[in-house]
Amino acid sequence: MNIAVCVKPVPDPEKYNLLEIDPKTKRLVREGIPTIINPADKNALEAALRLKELHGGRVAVISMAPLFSQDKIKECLAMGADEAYLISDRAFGGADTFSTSYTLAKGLEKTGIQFDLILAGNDSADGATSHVPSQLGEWMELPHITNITEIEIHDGIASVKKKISDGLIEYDMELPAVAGIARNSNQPRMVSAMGIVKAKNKKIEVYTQKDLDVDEGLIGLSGSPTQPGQLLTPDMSRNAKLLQGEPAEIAAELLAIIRKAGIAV
Amino acid sequence: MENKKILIYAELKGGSLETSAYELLAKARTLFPAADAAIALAIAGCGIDEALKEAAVSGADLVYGVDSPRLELYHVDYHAEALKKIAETFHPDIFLIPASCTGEELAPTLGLKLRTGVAAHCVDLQVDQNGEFLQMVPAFGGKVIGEIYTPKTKPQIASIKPGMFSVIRQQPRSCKTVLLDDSFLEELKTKIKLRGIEKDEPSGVPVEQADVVVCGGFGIETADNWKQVERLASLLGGAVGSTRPAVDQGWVSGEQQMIGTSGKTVRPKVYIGAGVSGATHHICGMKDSNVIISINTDKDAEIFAVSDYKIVGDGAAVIKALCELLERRQ
Repeated sequence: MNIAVCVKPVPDPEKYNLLEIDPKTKRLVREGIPTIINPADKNALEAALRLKELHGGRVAVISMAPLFSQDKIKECLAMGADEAYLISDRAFGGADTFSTSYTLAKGLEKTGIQFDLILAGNDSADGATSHVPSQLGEWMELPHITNITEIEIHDGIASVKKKISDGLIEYDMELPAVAGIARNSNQPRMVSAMGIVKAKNKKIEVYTQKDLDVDEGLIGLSGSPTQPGQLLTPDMSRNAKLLQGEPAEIAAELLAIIRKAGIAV
Repeated sequence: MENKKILIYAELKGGSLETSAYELLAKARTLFPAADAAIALAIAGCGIDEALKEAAVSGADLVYGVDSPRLELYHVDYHAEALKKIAETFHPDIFLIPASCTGEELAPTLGLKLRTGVAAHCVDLQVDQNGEFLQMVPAFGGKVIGEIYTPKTKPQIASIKPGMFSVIRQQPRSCKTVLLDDSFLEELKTKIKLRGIEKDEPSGVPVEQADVVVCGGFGIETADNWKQVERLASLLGGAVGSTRPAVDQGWVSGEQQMIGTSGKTVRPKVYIGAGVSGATHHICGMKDSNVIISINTDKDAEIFAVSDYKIVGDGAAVIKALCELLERRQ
């Protein structure tokens, strides 16, 4: 079994309250916010490592990110991935999900590995579109399903459970296939000291634009069908009138507020 | 300038249109007030006669339907293909898709099939001063809103979380219904086989439809205290909401009631947050509530900044007192 896991380094979602927009440049200021591997991607990696433990084979991590993210990719190797591919070139910068998934598909092709399964976190904490798994499947002309909470492999089939609004739907996908793994669908393993030692000997292969057989019209910002305008920080502030007193007094005030808001109790 | 054409994917629930269809229809009608836009609803399902009739008097100008046993339960390949066929028949400028658990998968899939851009989880749709369609998308858990244009390709696809826009009932218009031949679905080869469906036990009023939401967060501290949250929601005829940490604590089973960017978007008449600190992700899912009341022991809790009323103190104690008051009055 050859499994690829797509990962994305993102600013730590626990620190998003610190994000600001520079009033002059209108660009995002993310100083002091550490980069982590997108949480759902760790669930995808954990799912891949468990499948490898059951069925053998190898797990490759692939990412499209700036070169400085190598440390984060190394963390994936320390968790147990066998090898990593980092697609990194200014030409790929500013890509939307259409272009990102195209570039990832080309990167996967470049590895020369016949992957049976391609996993990705269902959505990233920063953009949170949840587009990439489906779009990667479309580019690669492979079956794809997102929001998967359970995955099993048998007889060339991936049996999956997909979360929907009122339950789960079960599907069988013929391999090779692409699966978007839901956040919190498993408990990603911790990095062990042995894992860190082993990761030192694992390779991270870097691909630039010239390494990939890409159509220039489909990469980076210029190849993206969606184009960003301005960034805004919505003003959501309200008055926050302080209510004080004993719980019973506050309760009486709250009841009046609730009734005034149109609730008949 | 030719009138804009807007297509809306009208999802079905038990044979009728989901509320999201009415939300998107109301929003779509406001986009081009001067030029009368042609708005079509797309319906893909099995046994859709009633839905087509309902859609015909919804205020849409056109209704497209694909009726096939293949579409009885959700299947990404069949549903995407049906919607693609409708889009290729209608040629919309704009295609609005509810970002439900299923629409969230169909939108990016259709983006690739139709070779166009998709703006995800839009919190607003506008038309700028140049007449260009402008999609406002949240990033970083809603801390930042980004403008997205799709300048070169059509349709401009936008996904919108259910509950983001209000339902404003429209006057019925003269409406044409077009039922497409479904034989293309019979011919479609798929490598995905549907095996079955496990439905959750329904748990009272869905959180996104309740007039009152009592939301508990990590600060609720114990499963016993959580019962008070449930008791208050029930006494107020509302629904229980939760934050991600409350789900992780196991106080509430599953994510059905979870509010935030990766959960439900709610806009009740009254939102009461108890022990909710106000992570950006959560605030994005409840900030449009009419009245926001927050209780937290931390006087600097982020949620206070977006609240109408704040109580610095023990959420469980205040909720318990309110429950007792309500019970005495009954």
